[in-house]
Amino acid sequence: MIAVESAAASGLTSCHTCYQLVSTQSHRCPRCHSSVHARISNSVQRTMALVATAALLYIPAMTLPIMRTVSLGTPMDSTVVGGVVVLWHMGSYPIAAIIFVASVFVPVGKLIALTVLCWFVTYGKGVTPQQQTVLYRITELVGKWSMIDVFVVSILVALIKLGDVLSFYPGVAALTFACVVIITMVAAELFDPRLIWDKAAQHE
Amino acid sequence: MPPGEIKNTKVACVECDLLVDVPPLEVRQRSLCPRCGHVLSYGNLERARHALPYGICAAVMLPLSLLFPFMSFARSGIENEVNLVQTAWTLYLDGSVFLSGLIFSFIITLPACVVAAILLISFALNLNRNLPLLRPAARFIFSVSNWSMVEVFIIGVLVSLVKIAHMASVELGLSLWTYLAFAIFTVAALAKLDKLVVWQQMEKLAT
Repeated sequence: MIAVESAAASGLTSCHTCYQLVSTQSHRCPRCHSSVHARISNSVQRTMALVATAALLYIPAMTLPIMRTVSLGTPMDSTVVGGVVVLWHMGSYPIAAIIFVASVFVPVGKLIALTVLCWFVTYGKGVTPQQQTVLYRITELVGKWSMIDVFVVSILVALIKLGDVLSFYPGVAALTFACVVIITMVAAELFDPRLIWDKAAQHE
Repeated sequence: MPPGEIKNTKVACVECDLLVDVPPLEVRQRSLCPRCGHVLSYGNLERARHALPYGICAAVMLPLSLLFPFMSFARSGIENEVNLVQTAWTLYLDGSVFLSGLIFSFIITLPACVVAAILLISFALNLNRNLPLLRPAARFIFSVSNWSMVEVFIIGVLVSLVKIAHMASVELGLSLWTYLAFAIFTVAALAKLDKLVVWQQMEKLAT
């Protein structure tokens, strides 16, 4: 590997909004007026705080009903996992898989990935920065796709309103689930991937 | 810059902080960070100018998506038809005020603002003129466009279809197709607007 120098070591930092190189001393980008930091301040602590919040909110999001179905006057609550099971029994395997991946696999995976990344940039070694960068990029990319289930609820609730014959209503979990997705998205944005390379440079 | 002169731009990779010289690119070229592989810049001013037609198409599709029915559902002789706004509004009526606001902004307000910003920037690039609000528009696009969830919502529509197809007859409305077109045109327009190219050109226009 070639010897490289980071911008921070040269007293420079890149504006995240417009790529302008600015001195680490300044707080505002001269070109686009966004605030700039050499590194996102307290990146690991803030990311982990949001990860913990999201993990706590994920419990009610999974256990409380996300939607209430009233069919011929009889109410029935369904949770996220319950919905997946119903779809599976109906034989809609691809859709059941999509919902499972979007609502269970992705949020949980994202929380684990962010925790692992924070651990690596604080203590870790053994994993190459390239691998960590790949993990970070996947985390950033998949974030908003977890919203699928919340959108499904909003569509069904609006569409299926046939009085007592058949009506759908939103459940508490829809809101907590939306919050989990939003908080994990913010957590991923607060994680500073440059820390991965700072750590790697320390070990060299 | 006089023609023929090669002028590199020094940038720091936002993912790994490596200092890199980015050369002027051709329309289909990309410049990657040599250390972490992050895409630093793609295309040139010519490519960025191509965002305009896509932006205009998107701007036409969004109002159309709000006008027509989105989906309809009928069972036992009762029919219910919804439009795009109602998908968020019904949540409000059912008491989920906060969730309704979130969904409204993710699928309508934010995407509309993104398209308005795309139009403003691409008009400025094509007319070679400095327009008011260019800077906030560009800041908005490059920091907030990740929060526009039009494509996620469309997948949500498909999932809902499968979920209720066995219950009754479900019909897709015109708005679903215009909204799909809106999503595609927005993504296409954003893919033409490179951060580095746009900001460099805007800097030139401002002086």
